[in-house]
Amino acid sequence: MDAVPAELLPLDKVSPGAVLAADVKDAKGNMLVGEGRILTEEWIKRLQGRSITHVKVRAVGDSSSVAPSVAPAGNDRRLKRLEAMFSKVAAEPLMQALAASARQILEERRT
Amino acid sequence: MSEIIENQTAREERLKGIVQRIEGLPTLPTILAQMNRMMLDPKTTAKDMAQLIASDPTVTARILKVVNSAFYGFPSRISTISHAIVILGFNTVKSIVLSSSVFDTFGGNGSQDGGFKREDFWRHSLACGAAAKVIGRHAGEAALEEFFIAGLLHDVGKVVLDHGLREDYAAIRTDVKARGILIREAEEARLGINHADVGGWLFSEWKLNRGLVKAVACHHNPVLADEHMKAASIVHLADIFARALQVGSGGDDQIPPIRQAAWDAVGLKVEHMTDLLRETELEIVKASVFLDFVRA
Repeated sequence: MDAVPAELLPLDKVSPGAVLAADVKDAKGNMLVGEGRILTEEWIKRLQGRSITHVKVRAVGDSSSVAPSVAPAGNDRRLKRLEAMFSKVAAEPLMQALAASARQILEERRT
Repeated sequence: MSEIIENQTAREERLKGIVQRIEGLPTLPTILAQMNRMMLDPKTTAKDMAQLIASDPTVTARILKVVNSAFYGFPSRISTISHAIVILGFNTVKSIVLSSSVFDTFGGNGSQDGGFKREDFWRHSLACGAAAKVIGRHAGEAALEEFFIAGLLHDVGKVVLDHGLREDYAAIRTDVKARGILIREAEEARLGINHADVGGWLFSEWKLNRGLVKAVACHHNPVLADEHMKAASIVHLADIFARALQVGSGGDDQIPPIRQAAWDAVGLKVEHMTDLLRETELEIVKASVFLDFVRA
C-alpha cells in the first residue's frame, strides 16, 4: 500500500470514518487507542473527554484506503457502470433493491 | 432432483479431468499441515503452537500485524504470538496463516503475463470478506472471522485456473470481454466447471474444514452445500454485495442475480440493504491490512 502522508488534525476537525495513522496516548503516555482504528463519532467524543486535542489521521477514501474513491467524476462513472452491470438482472426484485441501495450510496457521496 | 445428482456426478468427473491438467498444483503449505496435526493432538498447548509459528518470521509478523490492526481494534498492543493465540484462539490464528499462505502462493505477480489484475482481484476478495462478516453479523452468526476468511478466499479457484491453465484462462477472459458475460459462464462454456468447483476442490485437498470448503465450492449455488447452506449463502450474497459496491473486480463487468433460496436461508431484510452496504464499506477499511500481505 502506498504510504500516504498522515495529517495532524485538531480533533474537532476530524470526521467520523477517518483512520488513525498513529497511536493516541494521553499526557502520561498511557495508550488510549491504537493506530489503524477507524474513528467513529463515539471514539472522537471519548478522546475529547480525555483532553486529546490533536490526532494523526489518514482519510477514508484516500489512496491508502481501499474504500471507493470519493471524487465526483469517479462517482458519475460508477453510476454509469452500475446501470450497465445490473442491466441483465433488472427484472429481479432483489436485484432492483440492491441496485437502488448501491445507487443511493453513490448519490449520498456526491453531496 | 435425480437430474441434479446426475449432473453433479458428471461435473465431478469433469473437475477431476481439469485438475489433472493443472500444472504445478499448490500443495498444502507445510506450516498449515503442522498446525493441523498439532490441533488434532489434545496435548498441544498454546505454547507449542506459538513456538511453531514463531519459527516462521513472515507468518509471525503478519499475525501480529493483523491482530494489532483496526480489524480487531484491541485497545492495547499485542506483541507475542502466545498472547495472540490466547486472545484469538487456535482457529482464528490458523485462518490468518491460511490467508497468508494463499497470498504467498497466488500473490501479486500474476498479471505480468496478461493474466487478470491481481490487485483488483484481491480488492474484490477483501470486499467480499468484509461483506460476509457484516452479513454474518446481521444473520446472528457468531464465528464472523470464519465468514470473513471464506469471503476473502472464495475466488481462489480463479487464480488456480489462471496459474495452471494459462491458455484456457486467457481464452475465458477474452470471451468475457467479447460477449459481456460473467466469468463463471465463460468458464462453464470452456471447461464445463467453474472456479468455485476448483477452489472447493483445492481446499478439500488441503483438508481445511468442511464449512469453508462448502462455502467456497457452493458460493454460486448454495443449495448444493448441504448442512453448510447458510455459510455458502452468506458468501453468495457477499460476493454480489461486493460487486454492487464496485470495489475491485471479480474479472467481469456483470453482476450475478441473488438466488432466492440463499436470500431466504440467511434471512436478511430488503429494507436493511443500504445499511448492509454502508457497514461493508467501513469493514473493508478495517480489513485492508490483509491487502498488505499481497503487496509485501
